[in-house]
Amino acid sequence: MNNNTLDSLLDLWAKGKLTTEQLEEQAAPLTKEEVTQQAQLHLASITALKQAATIRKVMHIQKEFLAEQEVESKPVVPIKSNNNKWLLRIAASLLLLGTLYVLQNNIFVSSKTLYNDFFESYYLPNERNQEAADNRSIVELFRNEEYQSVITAYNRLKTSSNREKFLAGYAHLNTGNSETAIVLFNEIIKSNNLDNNNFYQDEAEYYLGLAYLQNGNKKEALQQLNSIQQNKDHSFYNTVDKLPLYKLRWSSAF
Amino acid sequence: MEAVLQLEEAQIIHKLEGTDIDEAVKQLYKLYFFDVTAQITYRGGTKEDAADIFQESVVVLIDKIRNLEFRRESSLKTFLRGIAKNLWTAEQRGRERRKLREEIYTSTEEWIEDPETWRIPVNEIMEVIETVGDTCKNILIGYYYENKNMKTLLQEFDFKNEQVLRNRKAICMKRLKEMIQSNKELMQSLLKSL
Repeated sequence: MNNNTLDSLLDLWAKGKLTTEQLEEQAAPLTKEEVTQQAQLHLASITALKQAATIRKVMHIQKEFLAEQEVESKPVVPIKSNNNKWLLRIAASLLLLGTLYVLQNNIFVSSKTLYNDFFESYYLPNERNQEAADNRSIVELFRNEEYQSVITAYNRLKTSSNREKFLAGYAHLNTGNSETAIVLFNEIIKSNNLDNNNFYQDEAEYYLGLAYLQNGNKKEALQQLNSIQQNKDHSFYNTVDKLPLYKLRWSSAF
Repeated sequence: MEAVLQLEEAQIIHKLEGTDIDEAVKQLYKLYFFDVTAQITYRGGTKEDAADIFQESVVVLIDKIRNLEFRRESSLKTFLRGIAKNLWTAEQRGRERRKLREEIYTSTEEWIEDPETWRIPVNEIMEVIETVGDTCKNILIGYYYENKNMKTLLQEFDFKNEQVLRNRKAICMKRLKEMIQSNKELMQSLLKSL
């Protein structure tokens, strides 16, 4: 049986013009199994051809469809689009720089910077009667701003008043020894609480806040200065009220 | 007058049953392309993936309509979405992209069986068809898909007479069968769809 003849028979069978039995009969000398195999292969090939034709048409239509969509979706580019882009970039850069400046100066500001901003020199008033009783050298050294000598003189004292403690604490603060300053100022506050006094209380409270700031304890400093700001009778109320406490509030939050 | 008319679903289906499918396929793209591709991109596919899946879904849809497997219990849109979702799931499984989750189909979507049973091996089919050559491809598609008789085909091809054309067709078919037979997976896939 030649190829052409078998192909024609299989075509007739696939179209229903021949029964399977007729196909088997006319396809002799092929065996029944060979005819079945050929018939399956013929149908599979026809299926492949039909699917290929469909695929080819769908592919072509999709290609046209997507090309149409691309044309419709292309935006009209304005002539000055490049200029606008550069202007926007410059504006964004300026905004970023401005933001960084604000952040650096108001939020990410160091304790040292805040201490320098907040610090106010202390003026020791004349107290003649007191000076007669107290160690004059500490007062004279303090007025001469010889802070290290103030500390040395204080350390020689067997007992000390709140005034001497305060002057020594202030001297420590000015020489960068914030930890000792914190101790001395707290001793003043504690002794006043015990004795129900307020001798050098306001000074100790204010400079304790500054000592905390110098020591990097922003939250403790804020607490101390906030309490002063809420007390209009405090000696340092006006001083604290003028301070940019918002900087300390923001920076202590980070 | 526009070539593409607004066809009702029944009309689209009717057109897809025949061989003159161009207008119906264009309507499928116009009506459902963006909706169906959106669900593919939503499920992690790229735009290219989504376009490929939609194309394959349309081919499967046409195949099912012709094989009377589209029961018309749901709309064309729902059916097409279901095919696309399953094809994409099968594709993802094949790519081993992520752990496959079993999806529960809602009552608005027609149940589709395992896509591996009806997925059309598009690339393999096109490769085999292209291998037989342009003349054979056009003769065979003309005869078996477009149902042209030998007399009509003789007018399109430069052959001496119908018998010569018939002989050539037989040779082309034999070549195609050899290619298909050599690809067992393709053969199995084609036999499943019979």
